[in-house]
Order: sequence, then structure tokens, then C-alpha cells
Amino acid sequence: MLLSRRNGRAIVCTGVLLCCALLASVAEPEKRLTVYTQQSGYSVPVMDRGGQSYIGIMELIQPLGATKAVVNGKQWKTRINQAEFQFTEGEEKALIRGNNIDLGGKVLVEDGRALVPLGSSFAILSSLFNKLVEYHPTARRIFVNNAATRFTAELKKGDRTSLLLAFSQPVNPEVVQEGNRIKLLFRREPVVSSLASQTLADASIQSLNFAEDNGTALITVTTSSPMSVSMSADGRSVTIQPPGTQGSGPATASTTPGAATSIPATPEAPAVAAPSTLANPGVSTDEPKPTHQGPEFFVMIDPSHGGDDPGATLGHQLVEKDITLAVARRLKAELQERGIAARLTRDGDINVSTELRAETANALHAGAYIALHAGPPSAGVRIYTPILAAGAPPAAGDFVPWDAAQSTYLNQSAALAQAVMEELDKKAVPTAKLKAALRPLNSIAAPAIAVELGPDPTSADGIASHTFQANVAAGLALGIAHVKAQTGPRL
Amino acid sequence: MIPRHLQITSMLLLLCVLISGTFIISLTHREKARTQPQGEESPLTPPVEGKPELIPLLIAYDDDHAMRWRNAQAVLPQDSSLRAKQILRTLLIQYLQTPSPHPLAKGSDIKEVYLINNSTAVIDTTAQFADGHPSGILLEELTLASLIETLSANMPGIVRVKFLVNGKERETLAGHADLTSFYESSAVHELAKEYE
Repeated sequence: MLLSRRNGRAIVCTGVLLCCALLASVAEPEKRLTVYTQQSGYSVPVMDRGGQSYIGIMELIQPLGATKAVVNGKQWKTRINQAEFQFTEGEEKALIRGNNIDLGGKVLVEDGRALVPLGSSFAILSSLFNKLVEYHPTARRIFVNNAATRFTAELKKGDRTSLLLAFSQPVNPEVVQEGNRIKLLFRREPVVSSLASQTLADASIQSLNFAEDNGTALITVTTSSPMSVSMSADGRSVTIQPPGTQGSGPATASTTPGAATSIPATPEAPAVAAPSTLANPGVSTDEPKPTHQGPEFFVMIDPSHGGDDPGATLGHQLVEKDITLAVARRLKAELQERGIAARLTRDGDINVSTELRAETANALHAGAYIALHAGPPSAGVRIYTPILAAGAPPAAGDFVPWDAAQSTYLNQSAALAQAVMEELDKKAVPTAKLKAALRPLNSIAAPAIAVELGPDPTSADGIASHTFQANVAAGLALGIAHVKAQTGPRL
Repeated sequence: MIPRHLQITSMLLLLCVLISGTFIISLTHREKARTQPQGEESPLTPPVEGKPELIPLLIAYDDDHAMRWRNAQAVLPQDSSLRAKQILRTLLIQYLQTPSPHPLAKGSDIKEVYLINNSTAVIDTTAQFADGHPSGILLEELTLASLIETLSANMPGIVRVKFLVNGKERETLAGHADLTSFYESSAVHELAKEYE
């Protein structure tokens, strides 16, 4: 009887332990916000307070160089370089560089630790650094000053098709092969992609998917049969190819096809220069185009003005910077609905110089650039192409003057303007096509246009109306999609 | 003890000093106002010497986004730089009138026009010209195209034009039109044709 009671206790204890182990294994990992800079990356825990996600503000900004906060009653003050940052416990606004920033919720203080809503992290970092900050809210990843690592995918067809992934920075992913799926998991690298899914139109290597969550990024390649994965020695390219073709590619650290395996792909072999699939400003494109352009194509949408620069005044409490941002967000959504990736040069009320807008578009190799403006004197939409003398493509390796980077793209810009105008005409939006010496159009190394929405003099609200903005955004997206369909992955 | 009559005399003298001081100050102000050079907000006036000439002006009309050639009479000096300056001021007079086809801010004026080899013109405008200019791509383009085309039509050797604001380079006119680059007259001519 005693023995059976002991046995019973042992069974109960074992059961409880097993349940705990099971719960622990299925429990969600701790939510974190990951911040990437060009020097490093770090993450801060995300906490739930009253149904809203919060983060510790000093944990967010101290690794970026913020001084220790000076607390005076409920008021907190800190500084990064020359930027002063003030916030007050219980308040929903903060003061950065003298500008009021809406935090989207109250500042909480717990055990001497200040918490701010997670959603405000983008506005705080953008305003503090005055640099481009990219925020991926669902994955809780923030990239400061172009810190993201991008990649291109090139499908090389032949006797044995292979897929070459070329990264802008060295990477060291964990490679997992599950049947006919190869997964590259990036735990530390700031790998991003503009598209979530890409069909590769090949029998052996069928598709490429990208996902990111809680500080990690995952590239999944679906193949028809098990493949081997190898990395170049410099860590900048990954080749996926049928087994037994190692000699022809950048070799090594390959996974064994078959059972699921997980190994870090350690580079060993000499690097092989990956053929560039990126738009290279000023370089002749006479070389044969690769059979597939990867997920790098995206449209850079530039909502003009922002921050201290309101742009044109369009009516009572209606300024250009707000209209351009609203239309930019609509256009991004319209493009994404059509399978075209898009980015914004600013996604908040922040200062971004025209030079930085052009630098960002060129550095990220945008496939097209759309500057959005709004201004008098009349209603409708005016589409502008750059006023610049057409230039011959310079020889490979030659520098192109910054103010003439657009000169070899003028025909594509004109074609884009025409397509957009036709689509807007179909939507009965009055349009005009003109030329303008508008910054920074001449410095954009991609097809580039500027779109100016005109306020209706008889109705101040016309330009802010949902219908008008939705019509314009849809027309622009259709025009871009039309040109892209005609000319291929790059406009 | 000061005698009473001395006290009264002193008070009267002090009063006289105060009255005459106030009078002198008011006279100084009046004279200053009379002799002060006309401010930048004053209306533009043509020069008083020389023979009147008929000059073509390309005038912008905001209502229909158009530019049209109109003739105006102006007295132009012989010196090329002064001549260019006077041509542009004559154009600005059209925009500063009420009603205006293309309103510009009060005080908009041309401070100087510098000619380099009679082919490149650097136009220095007043701060009010840029600070008070209505913001908008089209409005800013119309202003610059109107100035450049008018200058080129009256001084055909000018092939490049650059704008300064109050002697300094500025990024844009009012948030849009580029002021950092040199404008090629031929390119602006093509642009202006779209509006004519």
C-alpha cells in the first residue's frame, strides 16, 4: 500500500513535470524589439501594460549614446549628441529637439524605469537621429541609418539550375533542410526583403519566401528535390543547387539533403563574385539580363516635406506634408496589393533632407521613385518629369555627377509619367504632364517622377478627401504596374 | 535757501530745454524718413534716365497655368548688368500690381544681376522674393521660367542662369524649384513652350 502511494506520488510528480516541460516548450518566446545600427544590433524586452505594448525608453536609447537621464519630479531629461529629449510621467507627448512628439500613450514609470508605448519607438529614433529609420512593426525590428542587409536572388538556368542569393553584407545563417524546403535563419543579421513571396518559375527551384519575426529573419526556398547549400568565403552569397555540382559554384559548408538538419553555414572556400543584379547607376546595361530578378525591386515613395517643413498651405490647418504622407501610405498599400514592394522615405512627421531622400533611393537601388507633392494653383494632378539634358550612359566604372544621375533614365521616367497619366485619366482625375527642375529628381538613378495634387479652390477639403486620395493612389499604382508589366522587373 | 525767483527761472529753463530737445528729435526723425533710401517693400520704380524701349516680357498666369508674351516700355541703361536688372524689375512690376496674374510677395525685387562673359547671368533677388513666394511646384516653376525666358529674349547671349537670394545660395525657391543648379536657357525655353 505504501509502495503504491509512493508510486502514485511519483507518477503525479512526473506528470506535473512533463506538463511544465510541455508548456515551456510551446510557450511563446519573449517579445522583443530589435534595433539594428550600422555598427551593432541589440534588443529590448516588450511588456504588456493595460493591453498596450511598452518598452523601456532608456534601454532603447542608451546603447545609441544617450546620457543618463536626469529626473526632476515627474520630468525626465536626457541627451544624445546635440539632441535633447524630455518626457514626463503620465504625459502622452515628448519633446525632442524642441518638437512635440506624440507617443501614442502615457509614459509609465515603474521602479525607476520609464516605459513608453512600443509604437512610439519609430518616432523617437527618427526625431533623435535625423536619419532614415525603417520600422517593421509586425516583426518589431528597427533599422537606423540604412542598417538593413538586403539581398538579390538570381536564378541561373542551365543543365543544373542553381539559385544565387547575394547579400549586401556578410551573413552567417543557420541552414535547415526539411524535405524539399531549405530554410536560412538569420538570428543576428538585419536581413530584410521588400517582398514576402516570389515565384521563381522553374521546375527544380520553385519559390522563395521571406518572413521576419521577433528579431529573426527567415528565407525559405522551395525546391522539387533535395538540394545542397553552399556559402562563399566572404559570407556575402549563398548558392542553392542540385547535389554534386559543388565544383562549379562557390563551395562548401553544404547541408546534407535528406533528413532535417540544422548547421551554421560556415564559409570555407574562396569567394566567387556574385553577378550584380542591382541597378548600377551609370553602368551600361548592355550585358544580358539575368533570367530572373530577385525580390529587390521596389518603388521608393517620397512624401515630400515633413517635420519643420510643412510645405504649401492648402487650407485651414491643411498643409502639404500631411497630404503627401497620407497619399504615400495609400499608394504603398495599393502597390503591395498588386504584388509590388514599396518603401517610404519617411513614415512619420520628421525632417528628411532632399539629399538624404535621393541617397536612400539610390543606396537601396530603388526600381522607381515617386515624389509626392501637393500645392496650388488648381485642382487635379500634375505629373512632372525632370528637366535635364539626356546623357549617354557612361562607361562602366565611370562616376556620374550627382546632379545628373537621372540623365540616363529620362526615357523611362517619361514612359512612367505617361502610363500614370493614362491611368489617372481613366479615373476621371484631371491631369497635366509637365517638366520641372525639382529637387531631388535629377539625382535619382532610377525612373523618377513627381506628382503634385492640386487643391480644389471651391472646396478646401477636396484634396484631403478619402475618395480623391484613393483615386489618385490607385491610378498611380496602376500606372506603375502597367509599366512594370511591359518592361519587366526593372522599369 | 534758494530764492523763489531763481527756482522759477531754473524750472522755466529746464522746461525750455525739454521742449527744444523733443522738437529736435522729432525733426531728426522726419528728416531721416525723408532722406532714407526707399525700402525693399516700396514699389519698384523705373530709372529716370535714358530712352524708353519696348521689351517683350513672358508673363505667367496662374489661373490657366499659361505664360504669354506681352510688351512693356522701360527705360534701359547701356550697361549690360544694369540693363538686365531693369528688364527683370519691369517684369516683377507686372506681378506686384493688384490684381496680379501671378502674385508675388511685397518687397520682391532684383538686387543685382551679375553677367559672366555676357553668357551666364547670376540673378540676386531680395529675401522677400523667396521668403514670401507661394509654395508649389507649378507656381515656382512659372516664376523662374518667366524670369529666365524674359531675360533670354531681351539679351540673347545669355545661355545659363543662376539664382541667389540676398547674395546667398538657397536650396529651393519656396520648397520646390531648385535654386542650387544653373538653368540652361535652351532647356527652360523648351519648358516655357509647354505653358505658352
